[in-house]
This record gives sequence, structure tokens and C-alpha cells, in this order.
Amino acid sequence: MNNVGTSYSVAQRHLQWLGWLGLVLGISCTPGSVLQTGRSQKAIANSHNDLVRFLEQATYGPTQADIAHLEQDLGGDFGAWIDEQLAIGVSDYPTVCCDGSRGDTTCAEPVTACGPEDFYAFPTTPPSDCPANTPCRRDNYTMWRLQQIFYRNALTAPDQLRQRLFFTLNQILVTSAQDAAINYADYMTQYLRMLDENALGNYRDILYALSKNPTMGRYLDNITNTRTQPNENYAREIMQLFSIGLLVLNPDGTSDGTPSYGQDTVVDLTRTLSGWVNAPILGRNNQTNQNLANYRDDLVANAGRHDTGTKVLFAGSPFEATIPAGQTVEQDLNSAIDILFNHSNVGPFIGRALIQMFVTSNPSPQYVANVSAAFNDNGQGVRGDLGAVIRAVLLDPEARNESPAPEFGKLREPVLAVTNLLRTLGYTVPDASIDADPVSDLALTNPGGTPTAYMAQSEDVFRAPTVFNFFSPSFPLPGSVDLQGPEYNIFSTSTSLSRDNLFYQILRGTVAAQALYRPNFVRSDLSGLLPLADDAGVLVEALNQQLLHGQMTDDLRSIVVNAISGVSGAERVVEATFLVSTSPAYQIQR
Amino acid sequence: MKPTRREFLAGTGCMALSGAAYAASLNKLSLMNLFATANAPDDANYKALVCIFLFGGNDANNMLIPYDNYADYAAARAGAPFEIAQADLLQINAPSQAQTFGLPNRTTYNTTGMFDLYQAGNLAFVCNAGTLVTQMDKPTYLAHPELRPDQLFSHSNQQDENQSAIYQGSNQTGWGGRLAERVYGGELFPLQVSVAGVTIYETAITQRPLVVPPTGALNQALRYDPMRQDTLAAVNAILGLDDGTRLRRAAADVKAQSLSTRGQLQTDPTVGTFPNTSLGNQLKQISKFISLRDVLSGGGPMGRQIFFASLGGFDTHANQNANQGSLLTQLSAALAAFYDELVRQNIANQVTAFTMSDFARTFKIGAQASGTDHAWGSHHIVLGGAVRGADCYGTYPTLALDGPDDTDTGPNARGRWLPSTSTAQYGATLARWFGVSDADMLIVFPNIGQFAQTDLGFMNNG
Repeated sequence: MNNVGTSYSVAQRHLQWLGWLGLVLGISCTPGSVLQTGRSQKAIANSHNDLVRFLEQATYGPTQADIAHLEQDLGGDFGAWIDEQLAIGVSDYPTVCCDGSRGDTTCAEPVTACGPEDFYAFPTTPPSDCPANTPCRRDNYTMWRLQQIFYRNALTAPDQLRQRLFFTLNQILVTSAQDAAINYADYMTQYLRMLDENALGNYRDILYALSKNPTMGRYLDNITNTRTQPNENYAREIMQLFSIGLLVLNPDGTSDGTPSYGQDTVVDLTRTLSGWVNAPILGRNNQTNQNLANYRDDLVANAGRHDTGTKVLFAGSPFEATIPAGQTVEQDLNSAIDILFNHSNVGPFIGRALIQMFVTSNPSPQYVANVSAAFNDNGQGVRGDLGAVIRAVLLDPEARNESPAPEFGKLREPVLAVTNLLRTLGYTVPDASIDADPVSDLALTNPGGTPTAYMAQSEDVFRAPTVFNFFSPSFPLPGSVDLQGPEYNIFSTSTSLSRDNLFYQILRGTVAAQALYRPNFVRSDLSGLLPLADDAGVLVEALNQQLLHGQMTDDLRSIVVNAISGVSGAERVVEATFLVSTSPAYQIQR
Repeated sequence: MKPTRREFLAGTGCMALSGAAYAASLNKLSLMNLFATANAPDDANYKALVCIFLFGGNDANNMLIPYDNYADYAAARAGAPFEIAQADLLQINAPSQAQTFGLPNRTTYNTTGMFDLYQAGNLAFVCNAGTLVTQMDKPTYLAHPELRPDQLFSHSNQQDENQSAIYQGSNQTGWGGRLAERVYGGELFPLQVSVAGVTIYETAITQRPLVVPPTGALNQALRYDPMRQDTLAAVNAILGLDDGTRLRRAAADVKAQSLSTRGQLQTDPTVGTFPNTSLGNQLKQISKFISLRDVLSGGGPMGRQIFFASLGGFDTHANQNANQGSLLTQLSAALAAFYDELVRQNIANQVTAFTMSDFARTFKIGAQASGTDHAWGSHHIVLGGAVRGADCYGTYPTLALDGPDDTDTGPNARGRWLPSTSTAQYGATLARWFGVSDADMLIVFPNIGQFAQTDLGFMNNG
């Protein structure tokens, strides 16, 4: 259930809010218990606030429907909620088709009619019937439409946990449309589908599929990596960023500083991964005399480009592994993936990354070790089960501790700060008839116009500056020598104000529309708070419950209550919501 | 009234601590006499550094090319799409290197701007500089892996090491940031400004950089929409709260600095013409700050400023001809426009721009390869009126595969140059010009004691 387009009467909303307060004030849920060990953790919510806090970690934001479902239908059982999420079907990205009905295009395969959401395979030079400043150009030659789907999923998809994990994996196993070579909707879509469909699956499957994915093959140049012209880009980054990292890790993520690989390993892994090329073209566009490159199907092997010699990885270390001579391209890939996937680094490396993206920037070694153990064995002897890993991340005692240590928590990245606000309070669009997709307006790539709100905050989805994502996992917390704060890598004197400005515009509904790229900008729906406007204390307490899961300090409360005493009605609600939502108490999720 | 930590960091107009009291409390001032002429322009006391980071690893082998010894270059690069023909080289003398070089000039790779600046004596190259822990030759490099910088050839590590001048172990602050802390003279405006986001280079414990957008009106750079006075007051009050959590204080400090600084950006100064490119716009933005040097800092002069700009896309594993060519063309034109602007502002002798990059790239490529992989020692550009230009400093590498300067060995050696010079020595030369004492130099460049030559000699320190 989502909030879009739903209309409540004012009275119903009022009652709903009072009911909410009633829950907080007195009615208890089943007392919680969190087991320390094992993949069979059963965590039950201690309280309503505990439940809201869990959903903040696990979704794009706790809607009232989410909260009600977990609380009333599932009795506050987090484990059961995760079970449910694992069973929900994929909210997928469309696929790519060759549209033979286009007069200027011939297709290399039997024509499959494009579905309404599917992307056409277009030539790299736009044909004349896809001119600048048209929806065709916007949808196919920028990331706009893919971003629209991303935000639609974030705000409304029922498989919230998968969609969060999809976004996390997209930020670890990065490809980016900043690379002009893949800044086409049909070139990016299969990579997104692959991550989306496998996000709750097995990590080995992801590493394998990624290595045969044409978007990644282009982005990190593996399709140019041959026996005679080695290109080290993919081999280096699949180790550094996608699997084992730079240092030999203990299961708890600590390290004595020993590098996990050297240049010799990069050279030999490069040789191992040689010989992949794009699948045959999807068709040809006759008007522009250009082939329609195939970024939909897996890369295919080219034996002539493959180095068939012996390769030795991690020579001279306890991880040394030899890949024998004479294997095929496919066999070598499987050997490489097996070696990397089974390296003892992967559990702590990927496990810690997931903890940082979901729960806290500075997990304790014990927390990392627990998640690592779940990666190594999901309880049924399977390694790399991401469903088990995310369960361990969310149900760990450190995540579920409602009174965490001072260093616990994470700064909400721009995307999550906004989706959490919109889902928590509800949202509308001014005129749903303008756009059939009611959540189109957070897709904000606007190449020709002024920098968009997300570009201004340095998180333009699917367009990371480099394979190192928008922010670095090890970026230091400002002013600290011992803590990390990855999201602070893009939180500056400039972007911190941009964030507040965007919140102000979302709350007031004052973002300027633009016909093509921002036809119908989303705004918060504060109608549920309006009935409480007359009593500043009650209003602020409602915001405490909804946005801060009951954690508001007395200092913050009194500042906000005093600040809104000079305004009334809708303006009071906007100002109060602005102050709470832009406060560090909200911006840092704990 | 004791200033809050926020006020202290941001240096608001309501500063309760006098400059001298601050100096005493820090006990580390290296520059005196900065307060003697408060409220009067004093360009003679002003200096600025402009760091231009070329992200991805610029293949400097294709920027500073041997002319006399062109055959060395051709032997490794003949037939590559990005090979520069000798006929396309603008020849330059380099008295310190005893050979001549050439700067590329053709359809892509138009570096005539750099050439003109070099010939006029305002631009120099620093050759074969890299993340070097200590001076070493090839046998030492091969025999002592423990003396190498951490994670050689890794983008993220080499970027951090170049920006921090800390080549092994944890590097949580940058040399720009540490330099700012040594030279801070009570300026009432952030001494460091970045137009390219938050980076390690300007990270420090007490001196936090001001980050602004790379383009746009300066008086809109820190635009804050909520205008209602009660709301603004409440926002500031909220930023002063401390609920005992570490991450919330950090976010509050950043935003508080921003809100307290924005009042000083009242104008959008007019500066000269710059190319409408990424770097052109960034250097234009920096020029605006430089032009306000007598207006910022509460009406008194800025004594020192450190700027950070960036240009990305240099990781040319493929399509180097188009990509590097276009980037160097952009770099060259932007530098030329920037120097013209410094002259227009009568401040050319007081501003020095310099490039850094992750590393250079593999020298040898095959005939059909369209790009290069990661390497090490690279060549960098210094630009300014105080630069002793028209020369190349450091030691240009011997361009021999598996040769004395190649860290690769054997028949598959690809030419990854062992640096002759550490980027610590490079930075220390700039820092000395900037006014850091020898005693403080060890704090800014912790391993500078490893090198006999702590000043490469490319600056006029008079």
C-alpha cells in the first residue's frame, strides 16, 4: 500500500494520529528479546518506536501502512518481516527490445514488440525522429527514465528490502552513466536488472553475472582486454572494490595491514579475464547507418582473444591459487570467480559495507564478525546468501540496540534522507494527470538545465563520478581521527545547505516545474499534521514520533515549539516539520 | 564571552578571541605581522596556492615528450592512436635536464596555452614526481617492498597519498589542511576554499574548508531559502545542541560554518573571461575569491588562501586519444585564462597553481591498444609569477622498458617510472614559498626528513 493518491478525510487522519499517540503512551507490544547468536535470530519489537526504527534501517522509510502491517499483522516480529520480504517478487526494471516497427530499424532477431516500459535499442547517434528536447531523447539518451523507475520503486515497491539492497549493491559494484560510452538507457538497463533480480540471491551469482554483463564490460574496459593488449581495469577493481578489498582481513574486519594482492596478481587476473566481447548486434538503424549494439545479452567468449597460459594469483601467500593452462574463456572466468568468491576476505569486506549502508558507519568488530559468519554459512551450509547476510545485519544486537554507543549511526545520504521524509509523512503530486507515473518527479537528470537538486547534493543516481561511488567507505568523520563517516564525503558547506533547501521546497511544494524534466514535482503531504497545528506541543510530539521514533531531546523540543509560536495553521506545520527534518537528530539515523 | 567551537572554527565577525590570543593558544604561528595593517589592502603580504587535481592518473608521458630523444618515445608508442608525432610537438628547452622536450599540439592535445606560459617563464614542470617514501634506486625498490607506498597503482590510495603526503599508514588529514593550520593568521574567513567538493587535501583538525559550487554567482553559493527570522534563529540554535552523539556534532559543525560564513559572500565579483569548461569555470570561481581578498575576513586582508579544483576523466584505459587529448586541451586553455586573470588583478606573483594526479600511466602500449594502465612517477605543472619557469625540475626518467627507472622488470615491462622526486619534496617547495618555517615543515610533510633536497628550486622565494 502506498500513500499516493489516497485521500483520507481530515477526521480520519486526526483519529489515526491520536491512535498513534495512544500506542506510544501506554499500549505495549510483546516484550522484545534478541538472541546473541545464530542465524535463527528472532527479534521482536520492544515498542512502537523500536519498530519504526527497524523500518528506517530496512526500507526507504516507514510508511504508516508498513508500520501497521509489521505491528498488527506480524506482531512486531522483525524476522517474520524479513521472511516476507524475501518471498515478495521483484519490482523489476524493464528490458531492452529491438523495435522492428520503427521504419528506420531492422532487427537481427525475430521482432518482439516493445512493452510500454521497455527501452528501445537506439543507435549512439540519435535518429531524426528522436530530436533534442523531446521525451524520446530524454528517455533513451539520458538516465532520466531509469531514475524515475528507481524512485518509483523506492517510494512504492513492496519489496523494500530488496530495493534497498539493490541500491547498496549499485553503489559497491558501480557502473556509471558519467561514462559517455554507457550514457544510454538501453545500455544501462540490463546491469540494473541483473542487480535487482539477484539482490537477495547469492553473491557468487552476482560476481559471475557482473563479469559477463555488457555494461560493466564497457565501463571497466574488460571487453578490450585481450591476450595481446591486456587492460587491467576490471581485474584490479573486481578485487579492490567488488570482492576482497586491499588488505587481508580477519573475520571481524580488522587487519594487520598486509596487502591482499600485488601487481603480479593484477597482471595474472587480467590474463584470466581476457577474451570477452559484446554479443552480436540487436539490429541496425538504417537512417543513421549504425548498428544497434547489444547491451542486453551477456558477453560472449572469443577464444582468439584469450590468454590460455597458466595464471597464479596471490603467489607466495596463504591464498595462492593456480589456474591451469588450456582452459576456455568460460572456464577461466569460473576459476577466477571461485577463487575470489571463496577468499576469506569477502565475508568481512562485503559484510562491513552492508552494515555501513544500512545501519551504522562504525560497526564494532563483533558486529562485522557476526555478519561475516552469516556470509560464510547461511545456516544451511551455503556461502554468499545475501538474504542471510542482510538478516544478520538487521537483527544483530548492535543494530537492534535502542540505546546505542555515541559513535553509532550514519548520516542519511541525500536519496535516503528524502525518501524517508516522503514515505514517513506521505506525499502527493500537484497534478497526477500530467504524468501517468505519479512519482516521476524525483528523476531529476536535466542535462540542459540548471543543476538539479540531487546533482547539487552530489548523489545523481546511476551517475556516480567514478567506480569509487559517490562517497568512500573509509572517509573520515570531520574533525575525528578514529571514526569514519562515508556520507560526509559529499556533505559540505555547499551540499548541507542544498539539502535544507530541497527539504524546504518539498515541504512547501515550491519547486519550479520544467516541462520535460520536472513536469510535476512531488511534495510532502502534511494534511495529517494540520489538525494538530493549534497545539504546538502536540504537533511537535507527533513529529517526534514520526521522524525521530520518539528520541527528541527536551532541548530540541523547546527550540522548535518556541520557533513556531509566531505562525499558525499550515505555515506552522511546514516550519515545524522543516526544523525537525533538517536537524542533525533526523539527518543522522540512529 | 567564550566563543563556541562553531564560532571559533568559522571565524565569524563576532570573534571574541583576538588574533594574538589565538596565536598564543595554538603556539604554532609561523607568520607574524599579519595584523599590522588590518582593514587596509596589503597585497605584499598575500599568497595563495591553487591545487588542481587531475583525477584518474594523467598519462604525463603524453604531455611532456622528449624532443631530442624522441626515438625513445616512438619506440614504445608508434602506431598508437594517441601517439604524438614529432612534427606536432612545440619544442621547449629545459636547462636542468640537458635535453629538449615538446608539448603536443594537434587537433586533440592542443597545449599551446601551456607552451606560451612556459616560454614566458611563468610555467615549469616538475618531472617524475610520485608518492615516494624515501629516495631509492631500482635495486632498492625491488629488494625492499616495505619501503613502497601503500597500495601502489590503486586510485583511491594514490589520490589520498598525494593529497595527504602520507604514503604509509593512516592518512586522515591533507597537507593542504595541515599547511592551513600552520599559517593561519587569524583570518575571519575560511582559509581553505574548495570548488570541487570535500577531499582529503583540505581536511584538517581545526581548519575546515569552505566548499562552494564550481560555478555560479558567488553570492548565491551558500543560498539558504528559509527566510523567516524565527526559523533561521531556531536552525542555528539547533546546530548548537549536543546530544552526546559523535556524528551529529560533525554534521552540525559543517552546516554551522556554512551559515555563519554565507553573510560574507555578499557580491558576485566580475572577473575576466574564462573558457566555459569544467576547469575554466572552477578557476573563474577561484578568481572571484582572490579578487575579494581585501573584502573577506571581516574587511581586513586575507593573508593566505588555499584553493582546490579538480578535473576528472584521466583514467584512460581506453580511448586515450580522444579523452586525454580533450582534457589536456581544456587544462591548457584554463591555465592560460587563469594566468591572464592573475595579471589583470595585479597579483600574479602572489598566486601559484600546481597540478597533482594519482599517478602516470604505462609507457609501452601495443599498436592497437587505445589506452594505458596505471603507473607511478609523473610530471606536474606549476604556474605563477613567482615560478622560475621555462625549465623542468627533478629528473626526467630514462624511457627504457625494464631500464634503470622502470619498476617493471622482464620482457613484459611496461614502463612504470620509479619517481626521482617525492611529491613531499614537490609540496615542500610550494609550502616554503607559502611561508612555512623549517620547523613546521615536518608537520606538514612528515617524511621530508628522508630527502636531502627539501626545496626543488622552482620558486622565487624573495
